[in-house]
Amino acid sequence: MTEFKLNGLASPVFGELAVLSVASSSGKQARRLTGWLAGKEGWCLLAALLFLWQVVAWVVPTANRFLFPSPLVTARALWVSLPELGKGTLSSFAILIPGYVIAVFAGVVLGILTGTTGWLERLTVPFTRVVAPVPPTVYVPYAIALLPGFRSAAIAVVFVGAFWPVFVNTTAGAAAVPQRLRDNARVLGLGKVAYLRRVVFPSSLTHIFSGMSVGLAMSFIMLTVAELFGANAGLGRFVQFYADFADYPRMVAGILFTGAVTFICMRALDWLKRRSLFWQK
Amino acid sequence: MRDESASVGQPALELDDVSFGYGAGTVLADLSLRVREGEFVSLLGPSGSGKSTVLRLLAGLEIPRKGGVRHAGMAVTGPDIHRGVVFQDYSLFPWMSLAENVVLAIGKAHPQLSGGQRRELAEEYLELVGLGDACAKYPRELSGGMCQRGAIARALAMGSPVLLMDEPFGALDPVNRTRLQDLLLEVWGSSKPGRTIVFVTHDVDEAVLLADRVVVLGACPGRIIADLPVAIARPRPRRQVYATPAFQALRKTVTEHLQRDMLQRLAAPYTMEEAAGI
Repeated sequence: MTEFKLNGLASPVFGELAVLSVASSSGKQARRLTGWLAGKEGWCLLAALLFLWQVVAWVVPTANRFLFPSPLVTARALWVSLPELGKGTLSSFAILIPGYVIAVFAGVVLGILTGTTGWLERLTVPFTRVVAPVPPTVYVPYAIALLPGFRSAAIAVVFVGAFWPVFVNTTAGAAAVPQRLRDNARVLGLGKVAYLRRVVFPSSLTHIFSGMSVGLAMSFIMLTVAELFGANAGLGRFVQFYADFADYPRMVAGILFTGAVTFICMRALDWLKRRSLFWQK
Repeated sequence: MRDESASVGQPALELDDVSFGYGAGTVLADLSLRVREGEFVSLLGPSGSGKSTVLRLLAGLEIPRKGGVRHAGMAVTGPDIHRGVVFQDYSLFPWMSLAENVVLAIGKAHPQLSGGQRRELAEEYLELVGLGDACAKYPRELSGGMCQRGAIARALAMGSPVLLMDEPFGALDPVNRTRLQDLLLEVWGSSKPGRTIVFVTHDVDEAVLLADRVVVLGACPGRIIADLPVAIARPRPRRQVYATPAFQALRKTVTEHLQRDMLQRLAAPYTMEEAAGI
C-alpha cells in the first residue's frame, strides 16, 4: 500500500522536476537527469516530504514543537528506540506470521476446492457475501474475551483479517481456469488431486497473490489494532504506549518504523510473486 | 510404403448419426464417420463446418445430443489416454518446462516408471521432435513451432493408439508448417503398430499431402459433403507429389467441393427471398 501511494504521487512531482531542469539547463543535461531519476521517483518524493516536514517544524511555534517533533528529533527518538522496536517487531511477527500463514494456507486450499466444486460454491457464496465484508476489527474485543491468551486472540484476529481476501480471490481464480486448460487436463487423464495441484493452483496464482497482498495489508491493520487492546510488546503497542505518555517523538518514530516494516513485507511478497509467476508472458 | 491391406482393419473410431449443438443452434446434423485402425484421415472444411467439434466428440471432450461415438468398439463417455489430442496453440501448460509437460503425460501412460525413468523417456521424445536442447525451457521462451513440436512429443509420449489433431499447424508460418508436416509423417510412418490419426485443417494442400483419406465438411449445419481416398503412394516427397496429376486432380476435386458448398450457402438467403416473392 505504501509503495503504491508513493509511486502514484511521484509522477507529477517528477514531471515538475523535469520541467525545472529543462528551464535551468540545456536539454542534454536534462535528459541525463531524467534518466538518472527514472525509477527513483519514490525516493525523490520521500526526500521532498522529509524536507517539507522539517520546514513545517521550523515554522511551528516553539510551544507546539512538543506535539509536532521535527524530523531530526524523531530520528534521534528512532535511534534510541531501535532495540525496543526490534524486540517489538519480533513480538509482532510472532503474531503476524502464524496468523497470516495459516490464513493463506486455509484460504488457498478451501478457495481452490470451492472454486472447482459447484455445490460447494453455491453453498458458501451467499455466506461469504455477508461475512467477508464485515470489518474484522469488530471481532477484536470478543476474540480477546473468548480466547485463552492475548497471543492466541491476536493470531485469530489476524487470521480472520487475512483469510477472507485470500479465500475470495482464490475461489474466483479457481473458478476462472480457462476452458482450454481444463480440456488439456482432461485429455491427459489427470486425476482430481493432480488436476487441482498441477493445473488449478498454478492457473489461479495471479488471483491468489492479489488476495495475499490485500490479506497482508489487512494482517498489519489487525495486528496493530489487536495490540492497542492488550499487548505488552509489539509495534502497535509501542505506538500506543508512548502516545499514552505523550512522548510524541517516539510515537512518530514508532509509526514510521511500522510503515517501514510493512513496506518491506509488501516488497518481499512482490518478490515472491515475481518469482512464482516467472512463466507468464 | 505402408501395407494398406494390413492396416485396413477394424474401425478404430466411429461416429454414428451424431448430432450436436449449443443451446438452440445445431453444429452437426446426423453425421456418420468411420476411421480405420492405422488410417490417417484429414477433416477439411470452412469455419462453422464443425470440424473441430467432430474432433472434440472423438476425444470425448463433448458428448453428442444424439447418436454414438465409439473407439475400438467401446462407447466414448469422456476423454482418456487412449486418444491423445494436440490442440492448435495451447497443448502445453505454461508453468511447466517442456520436459515437465511431457513427464506429466508419461505419468498417466506409464505409472510404473520411476521419476528418473519418466524424465529420461520425456527427453527421448523431445529429442525425437528436435527439441533435445530445449527440455528445460518454458513455453513462453519457445516459438510457436517449437511449442507444437513439444505438443506432438507429449501426445506421442502418452502412447495413445489414436492421435487427434485440431489444426495443429494452423498458427505457424509456412516454413515451420512444412517442417512439422514432414516431422509428423516421419513419426507416423515409423510408429508400430500404425497410429490412427484424425487431422483437422482448413488447408487443402496439407490435407491431401498428409492423409490416406480426406473428409470434406460443409457448413451450417456441419455435415460430410465428400469422402475422398488419397491414392498417392508413400513416402510422399513434397516436391514430387505436388507435381503429380493425382495430387493436382484431388486438390481440384476437394476445392470444388468446398466452393460448391460456399456458393450454396451464399445463394441460400437469395432463394428464400425469391420463394417469398420479393
